[in-house]
Amino acid sequence: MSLSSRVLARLFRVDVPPWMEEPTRLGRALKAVALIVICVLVIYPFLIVLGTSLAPRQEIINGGGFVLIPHHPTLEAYRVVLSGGVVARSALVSIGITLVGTAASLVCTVMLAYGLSRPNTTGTRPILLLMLGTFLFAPGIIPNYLVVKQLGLLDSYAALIVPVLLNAFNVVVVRAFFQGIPDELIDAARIDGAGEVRILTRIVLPLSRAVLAVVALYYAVSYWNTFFNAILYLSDASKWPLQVILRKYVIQGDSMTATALGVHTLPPSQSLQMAVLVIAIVPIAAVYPFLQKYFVRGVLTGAIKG
Amino acid sequence: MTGHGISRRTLFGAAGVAGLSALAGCSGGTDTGGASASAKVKLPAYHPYTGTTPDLAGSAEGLDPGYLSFPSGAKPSVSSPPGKGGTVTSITYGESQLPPAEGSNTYWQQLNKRLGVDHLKVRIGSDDYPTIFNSMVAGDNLPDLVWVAPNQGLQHIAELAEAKFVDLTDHLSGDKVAKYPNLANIQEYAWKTAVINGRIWGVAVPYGTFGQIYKVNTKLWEPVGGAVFRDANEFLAKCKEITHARSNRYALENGQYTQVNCVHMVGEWHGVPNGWRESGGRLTYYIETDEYEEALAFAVKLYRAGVVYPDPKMSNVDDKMAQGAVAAGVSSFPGYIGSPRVAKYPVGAIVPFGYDGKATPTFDLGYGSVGFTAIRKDGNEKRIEQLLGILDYLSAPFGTAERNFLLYGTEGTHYRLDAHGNPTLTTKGQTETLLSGPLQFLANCPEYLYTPTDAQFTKDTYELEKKLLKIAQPNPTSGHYSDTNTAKGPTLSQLITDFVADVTQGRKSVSELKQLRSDWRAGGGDKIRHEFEQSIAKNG
Amino acid sequence: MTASARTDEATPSAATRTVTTGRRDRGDRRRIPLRARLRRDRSLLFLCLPGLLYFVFFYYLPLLGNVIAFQDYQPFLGFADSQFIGLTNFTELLSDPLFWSAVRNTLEITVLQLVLYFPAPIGLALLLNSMLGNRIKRFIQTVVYLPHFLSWVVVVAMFGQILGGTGSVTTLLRDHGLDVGNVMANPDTFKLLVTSQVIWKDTGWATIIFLAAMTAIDLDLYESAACDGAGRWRRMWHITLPGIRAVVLMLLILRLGDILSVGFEQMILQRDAVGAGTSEVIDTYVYYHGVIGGDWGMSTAAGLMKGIIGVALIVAANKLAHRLGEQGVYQK
Repeated sequence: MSLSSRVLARLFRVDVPPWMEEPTRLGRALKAVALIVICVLVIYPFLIVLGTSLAPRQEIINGGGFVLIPHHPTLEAYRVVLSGGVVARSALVSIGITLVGTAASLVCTVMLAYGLSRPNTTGTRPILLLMLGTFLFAPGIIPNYLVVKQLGLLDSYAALIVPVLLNAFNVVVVRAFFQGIPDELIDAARIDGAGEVRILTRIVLPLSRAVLAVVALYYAVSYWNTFFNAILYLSDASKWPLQVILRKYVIQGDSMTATALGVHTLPPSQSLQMAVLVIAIVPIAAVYPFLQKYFVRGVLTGAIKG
Repeated sequence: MTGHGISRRTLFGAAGVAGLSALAGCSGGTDTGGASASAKVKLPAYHPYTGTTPDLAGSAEGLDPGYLSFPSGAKPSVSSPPGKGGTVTSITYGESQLPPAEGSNTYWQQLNKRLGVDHLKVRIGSDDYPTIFNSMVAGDNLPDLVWVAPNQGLQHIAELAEAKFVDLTDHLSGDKVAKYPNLANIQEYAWKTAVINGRIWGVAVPYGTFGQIYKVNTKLWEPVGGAVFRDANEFLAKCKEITHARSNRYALENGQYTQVNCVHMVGEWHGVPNGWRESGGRLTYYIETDEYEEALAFAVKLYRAGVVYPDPKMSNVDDKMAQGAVAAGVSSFPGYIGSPRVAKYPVGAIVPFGYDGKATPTFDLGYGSVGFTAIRKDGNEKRIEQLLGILDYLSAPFGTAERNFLLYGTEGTHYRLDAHGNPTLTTKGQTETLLSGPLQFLANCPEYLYTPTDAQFTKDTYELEKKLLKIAQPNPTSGHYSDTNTAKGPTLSQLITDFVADVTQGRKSVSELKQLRSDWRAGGGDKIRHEFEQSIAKNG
Repeated sequence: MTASARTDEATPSAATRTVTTGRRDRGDRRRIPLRARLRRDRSLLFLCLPGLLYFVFFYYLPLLGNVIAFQDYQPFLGFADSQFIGLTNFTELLSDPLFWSAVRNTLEITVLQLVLYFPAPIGLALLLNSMLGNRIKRFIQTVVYLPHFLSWVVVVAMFGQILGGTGSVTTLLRDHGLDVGNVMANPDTFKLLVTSQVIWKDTGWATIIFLAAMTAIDLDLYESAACDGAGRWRRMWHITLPGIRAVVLMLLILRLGDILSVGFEQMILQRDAVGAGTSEVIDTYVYYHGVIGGDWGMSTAAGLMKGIIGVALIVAANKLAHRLGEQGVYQK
């Protein structure tokens, strides 16, 4: 094979299992087209965001607000956003909260989900319904504020974690997955004398990597995106996480309050807003590929058969 | 498909903004039925600061003083630091980039020293201000200094004030205010917003008196003889001449609120009253007037003529005007004053003219204030004077050493003087002095005109103000209070905004104004009218 | 995900029954007293404790605050002193024709989303799942989830850049003689526009959970089906889809609980362009008519109503799921 076709083959290596038919030419072509279209639809706007973040103001004015490929790229917008150390500090806060929060949430979620997943356990139904109820009725801002205040969490980082520790949706998802684990495995362990906690840690968890990865991702993203709770519970701006700081930049023109008051607000330049967006997304874009392997086939098989 | 609970929280969280009705009165009392309501309070006596002489003199009617160059020889206006140590907490408003935290902000640390406190904690809220404010009230968690914005959904303000704030009448009324010379520099019309039920509940925060104006890129209007018009038809004609759809150039802006702002401007040419028309103790709301209907019809003509930028999601007006895509956009007056800093094009304004060349145009004034700053009631009398002293410091007039510091920081570290003696911020200064913006909502000095880079613009704006003052009209309900207006005002205001957007974009016809009027009346308008009329009758 | 229904082995009398066999069945409730059952299940219940405490403190305790819905609540008066006005908040809400117009809009959008948006991630997940090339697969996965992280402000602005009155696609079409006008400002196409925005933004992200479910399907099933002669489409129909059926149903049921929330920021941003009549949904109605004026009572009342409807829908849907033989979200 020529060099180029070898490279292509490597890049597009396809491992076809013996029982599967060879993918048809047409099938592959159609798939390729569909995927290319999807990718373009998604990537194109991102290139615009990236390009605009690197474009000097004049080019943006000429381009009507957005620039795909700047002729004279500049890091000015990033410099402005990152100056003063405010963004850097808030990024650290966000990272800390995300790591701690995700760990805490995951642990509690798994515990609750497992506790509710074994059939005919006492109290499963009431607890489950209790939990589902929370999914539907959101308590108000002021009542929540009062509870947080009473628990002494105001102005502490814990206020960003404890009030949002669990998400009923995620618990339901994990529980459903746990229920799908074959009873034979669990019974076998019980007969060997294992207690529930052992069963959970030795048997159930190792089999649940995919769903745990999904739920961890959901929690991590929501902690990373913490916004309103920070504004409400933390009066000290130096404790604010990244999203709050960044959002302060992305105000298109006048905000409602400002307009109403007749107050003059300096609309941030387009490149500033786009730089803010890039900074907000980059960490997630960087972390996600590492989680991907949990979403790829092959992780589960073998455990059951063995 | 992720946690729904969290998304719903964000929903309730995001919903904290108050749409300030353009017609809201800012203060005054409810009908508590007490005789005190009829007692007129003595506002703090006005003693203008005389330490600097502006190149262009201001006036008591509202003309802002102008400075063509940076006033030299900054004198102190505060003899000694007002605070006596400790921590002072506050909550205020801010809309942009956050300043570096106190620990790493030398400007902030120097401010602490100058104020005589160990720490000045400044909590900065923005669109979420009403929600935060109300949560703090409910949780009994207010800071020492509280900025109270007009009409942010804060109902029963009189009861709220009595419950949570210190009555400052005995500290500030009449000549008592002389103890705080910078506070005495604040004009009476600004103090009105701090008066509720005949008592003074906070330190007024002054702000520009002038209302919205049509800002233009003068270069784009030159080919048609400049942005001066004899009558509305000439306006329409010139707009049409300027507009070239092919080259993506339009006369007028588009975007959120631009429709209702446009009608506001056109309304001034028709003599539409500023919020309400008062005659013989009776009030008529501006949408109820014939002038408004005419103005609305003309605005529709403008939109039909295709002179408006076609994208209702247009944003960044200044960029569009610099680009030549838009020739005119409505701006707040303080925004107009500050525009040479950001506008990359020659800035001008349209002076309102009679729509038919003969009628008297009007110019709507603003409130002259963005609310007041209250002091939390906590039983500590001695502290009140300290806190007032701090607010006094923060209200230092332009030209004083304190104001220089507040605006620019310390020379050498935060700013340098250029060849003309005008200050320019260093990089460090630019980030650290970001604190001064939010501070200006806690306390401020009266508006002034000073453009470091463009003395001519200052002169022109001064002349502009003179012209506008000749046709200026205030809102007759300013200084009066209506509970229903606080509760329903923003909703009704949104009703009007939506209606105007529908009419100008062809989804409704002008004749449906009748329906809007009756909806407004039924939705609370009549009650508001009644309450304002009562307040005017009682308090004059 | 099937419920096990094994019978107990022969058991000694209740008093001497070992607590740790772990095998439980429905009959337990009759045979074994509550206290013994609690003892038996104590480790499981213990595991539930942190979560339970959390929900009690941060949901049920503040939920008591929903009393605001029946009050003329003023923050500085607190719950105790605010005036009780019974159902006034609710009646005010239900008697406003603008509210019903918002309800209509909400329902129309939600149906569109159910029909068009709900299946989209499933389809995309199937497509990704059928891909054999690992590298490309992971690349595409990384790419498609990115739009989820853009804020609505940016998404709407981008759509405007492309489909707006002066947008690139619009201009392109106009230059070739096809004048579609300003799609972003057209009230008739608004609901479709809004749905397509959601599809663009969230489809990729939503595939995650479906892909996870698909990886749980035993490969042997595919192999044996292939050996039996099933082609790829039949395999998808008979193995993949049923394999994720439980997940799909569960998500559908949960989505029903949220059915009246169709967007907020997205609607506000485009309100001016198409007018309030088209873009007002329940959440924006509550915002403009309640929250802005500080009417806590009304906004809480609306939230309460949405919750009750959500409960009703979930209960009904779950029952339906049981009829179809699925577990649903909770069992009887």
